Order: sequence, then C-alpha cells, then structure tokens
Amino acid sequence: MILHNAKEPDQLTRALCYATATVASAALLIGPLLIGAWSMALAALALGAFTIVAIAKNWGRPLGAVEFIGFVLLATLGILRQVHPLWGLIGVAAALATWDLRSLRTRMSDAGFVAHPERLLRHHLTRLGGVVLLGVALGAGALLWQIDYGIGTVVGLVCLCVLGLSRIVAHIRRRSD
Amino acid sequence: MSVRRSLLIGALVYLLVAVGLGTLTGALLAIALPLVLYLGTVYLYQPKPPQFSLHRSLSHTVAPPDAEIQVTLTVTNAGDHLDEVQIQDNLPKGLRVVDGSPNTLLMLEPGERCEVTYTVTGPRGAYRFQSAGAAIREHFGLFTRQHHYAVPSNLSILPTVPAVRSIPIRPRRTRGFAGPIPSRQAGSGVEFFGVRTYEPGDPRRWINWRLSARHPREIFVNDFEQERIADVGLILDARERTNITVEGVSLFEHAVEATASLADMFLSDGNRVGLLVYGRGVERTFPGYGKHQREQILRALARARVGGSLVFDSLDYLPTRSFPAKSQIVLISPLCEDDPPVLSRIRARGYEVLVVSPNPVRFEEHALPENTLSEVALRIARAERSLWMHQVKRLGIPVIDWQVQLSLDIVMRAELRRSLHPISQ
Repeated sequence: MILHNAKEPDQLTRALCYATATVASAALLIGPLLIGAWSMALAALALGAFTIVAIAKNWGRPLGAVEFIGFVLLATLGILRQVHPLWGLIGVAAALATWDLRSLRTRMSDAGFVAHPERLLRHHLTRLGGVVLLGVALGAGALLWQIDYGIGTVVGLVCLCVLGLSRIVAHIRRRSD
Repeated sequence: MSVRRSLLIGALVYLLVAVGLGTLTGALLAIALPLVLYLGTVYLYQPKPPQFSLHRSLSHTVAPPDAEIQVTLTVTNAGDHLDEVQIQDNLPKGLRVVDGSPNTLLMLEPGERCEVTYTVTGPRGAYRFQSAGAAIREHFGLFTRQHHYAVPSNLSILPTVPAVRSIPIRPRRTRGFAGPIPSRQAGSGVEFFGVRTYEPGDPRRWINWRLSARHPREIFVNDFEQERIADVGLILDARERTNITVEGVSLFEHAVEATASLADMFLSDGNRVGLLVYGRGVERTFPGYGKHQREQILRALARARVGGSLVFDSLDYLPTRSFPAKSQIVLISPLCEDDPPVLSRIRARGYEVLVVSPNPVRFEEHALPENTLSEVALRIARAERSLWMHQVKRLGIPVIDWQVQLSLDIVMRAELRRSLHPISQ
C-alpha cells in the first residue's frame, strides 16, 4: 500500500480501528448467539456499536480503556456460560488491537506533526500484527492441547506467572517516565 | 497514561488467572495469553537510553515585530533504532506558532537525521529558547523515557523605528569631530559667528568689506560657528507607575518606538548616543556611534520592560553623571508630579534637557465610559498634566507633549516651531 501524505495514515488507522472493533464485537456476538445467550449477544452488539461511534467521534482516552475492559469481561462471562472459548480469544485479541490503535491515533494527533507517518505506521502494524496473531495462535494451541496437572503444579505455575508478570509491570512502572 | 495502561493490562491478566483458577476454567488462562504477550513485547522492546543530539537554528536572530521566523530543530540519532520519539521544543512565552508545530512524532533509525521546522512570530522582546524535551517510547506506548536537552538560542524582535526628521539641539559642550551641532566656537561652518582680523591664508571671500572699509589699516574677515557632533543621552522611563495599558495596548510601547526613532535620528546625524532604561533597575547602553550603536540600542529596547521598584520609583536616582558633562539629555517619559524638581537638578548640573512626553490622559480618554464622573476626572487629569508641563517649561526645558495617536515627527515639528527658537539655553 503506497501512502502519499499524512492524512492517509490517519485514515488507515481509523479504518483498522473500525475493522478490529467490528471483529471483536462480532466474535463476542456470534459465540453467545450460537448457544442462545441473547442478552450477552445484545450486550456485545451494544458495546461494539458504542466503540465504533466513539472511534468516529474521537471521544476521549479513558473510554478506550472502559471499552476494552468491557470486551474482556464479556469474553470471560461468555466462557463461563459455556460459549466456545475461541470466540472469546478472538474477541479479546481484536479488542486489544482496537485499544492499541486508538492509543496510536491519539499520540499521532496530539503531536502537531508526524514525520514519515507511513513508515511509523508500517512498523507499528507489523509488531502489533505479530503479537496479536501469535497470541491467538498460542491461545488456540492452549485450547486444543490440554494437559492434566495436579492442583499443586497448577498453583505453582500460576504463582510463577504472577511473579513474572508482576516484575514486568513493576519494571515498566519504575523505568518509565 | 502509559503506566496506567500497563497496570490495567496486568490487572486484567490477574483477574483472568484468578477467575480461571477459582472456577477451574483453563480457557480463561488461554484468553489471557495475548495480553501477556503484549506486555512481554513491551518489556522486550523497551527503549534504551537514547544517544541523540539536538541542534536548533533560527532563520533570523534579530527581526522586526510580527516578522515570521523559521525555527529548525535537527535531531541526529547516534544510537540504536528508536520506535517512537516525540520531540517537544519549549517555546518562550510571548511567541506564537503560525505554521508547523514544535511538537513532532517520528521514528529514528540508527544514524538518521531529521529536521523539524516550524514558524513563529511575536511582538517586540528578547526571547530565549532554553531546552527541548524528548519522549522515547516503544511502539505500543506503554514504556516512556523522558529526556531534556539544553538547546539555548536567542531571538531579539526589535521595535519598529518610525522615521523622524532631525531636530536642532544645542548642548553646552560638543565633541571634537565635525557634525551638525553648532558648537559655540569659531571655526568652519555656515552660520555667522563673529569677525576677526585677517590672517594670511584666509580665503578672500571671507573678507568683510564693509567693516574693513571703516578701518583703513586693518582687514577683517567673517568667522563662522563650528559645527560638531554632540553627546546625546536617551533616558527611557520604564517605571510601572507612569505606564498605563488600554485595551491591551501599553503606553510604554509608544515610548519605546519614540526612543528608537530618536536614537536612529541622532545617530544618523553623526552624534554619539547612549541609552539608559530606568524602571525595574538601570540598564545602560554605553554611548557609541553609527550602525553598530544603533543595533545595540535597538537590542536594548527589545529587552526593555516596564517594572516596579521601591528604589527606582522616582527619578531621583537617575545616574545622569554617567552621561558626559554638559551633553544633551532626552527624557522619554509620560511624567508624574515629582519629576519636575529632578529635571531642574539635572539642568542645574549643566545638561541640556529635552522631554518627549507621551500623553497618558489622551491615550486613555477614549476608553473611559462617557459619564459626568469620567468627564470631571479627565478635566482634573488634564489640568494636573498641564501644570507639570508648565513647571518643566519654566525651567527652560522644552517639552513635547505627544499625543501618541499622531506621528511623533509631526508633533515634534509643531511643538518646536511653536517655541519659535531652536532648543537652546
């Protein structure tokens, strides 16, 4: 895709935000519909519509976080109510991409000028795409390949995971300005 | 915001793990994987301490008011690849951006150089660019490093210099070089000064035939007044008590313009001119000649600001001794009630004084509400000012009462013509 001026990257990110928000909303709509959970389907539809309107109107930053939390909670509730977890996985991954792209759009619009926006966008999309696709692949693999562990092993693994994650978040908090 | 986003993602992962464990639903751990991977990528690609240099250049370091000045900030990356760099050039207060932006987002490869250009404009003043900030992030924007770089630059926006025609001055002492000022000494010039006896070498056209005819044994020649340059000291009153601002326009700005015009005029005539700005403190520009001195004075006027000080509230502490003895002093001041005695003392020390006084009453009157109280207040203010003017004129000091809406050149011509004589003792 050849981009000629600075307006095109913004149009592209906006289009991608619409697309990922639609995918997230569709994934969390179809899953409950298949098992007849109409209220959850309706909630996913409403959240998706609200997100698309918020993207169109460029509503403020905190809304992006609220929408993302909403998608994650819907996915969690769906899985707990026996919706196939793949739909939840796709929904969460797409919602994460939406939130990230909206954050990028905000940073690009806050800066008065963006130098070589197409190059910046290309690098960003490459990395984001890699993370999202790898995350979905690993998640799908985790869903397909099930191993039985004893409760002690599970708790130990979870503790390791929690410790590792805590260190990453603490490092980001400490080193970031 | 980026730290809060990372905390939010971490909290969601914990929530999914906790609920997954609590309900023994392994699928919840699976849907947490994209979030864990996202955080892991941020950790992996966190930006290293940057090694880049910033350099700022201005299209002009000296400019007239409201001129457009292009600012170019050059960023050179001497280190590793930087995913996102947000450069914020800190603008001095008073300047405004008319094109481009001092806030730029870019990506930098190793060794890459990028130029950020924007255009600013502003009113008269001396502006100092201090620093620029850089925020370095990885692509997802969760990890930010802030750096500040000292990139000093100076910009002087000079006052406008409306042209004024030469005015005659006659200080009691002049300097030793030829110029336009009558020096009260005989020498080469055009004005008749007196007669003396003929000396060998005097041109024949100087011979005063009429007088020589009455003295058979002697020949007399005409003598002319030598014209020389003079020392002129300009004093700009920058005291807060004498300044007023009406609808965003300050009377002081007119005083600055008048000072610039007078400096330009006196320097063009070849005189030696110095400046003293009296208000917040005392800022001196030592006397000098020519274009270089003009530049120095205009830069000093660009820096001049109205200010208040208990010490310099009255003109009593004017360091007039810093001006050459018996030179010409020009005071640009709206004047107030305790100024006339100070001017009398300056005159008594042998200086020739001229006062150019921007009229604050006429400056403000159009902005006052039209009612009886305002009318009475205006009449009292006009009467007070008229009294001060009269007190100063009685000391033999010419005063140019300048209504700032009119051209200073026209007002000076009219006032000096009204006084009938060139300014003298």
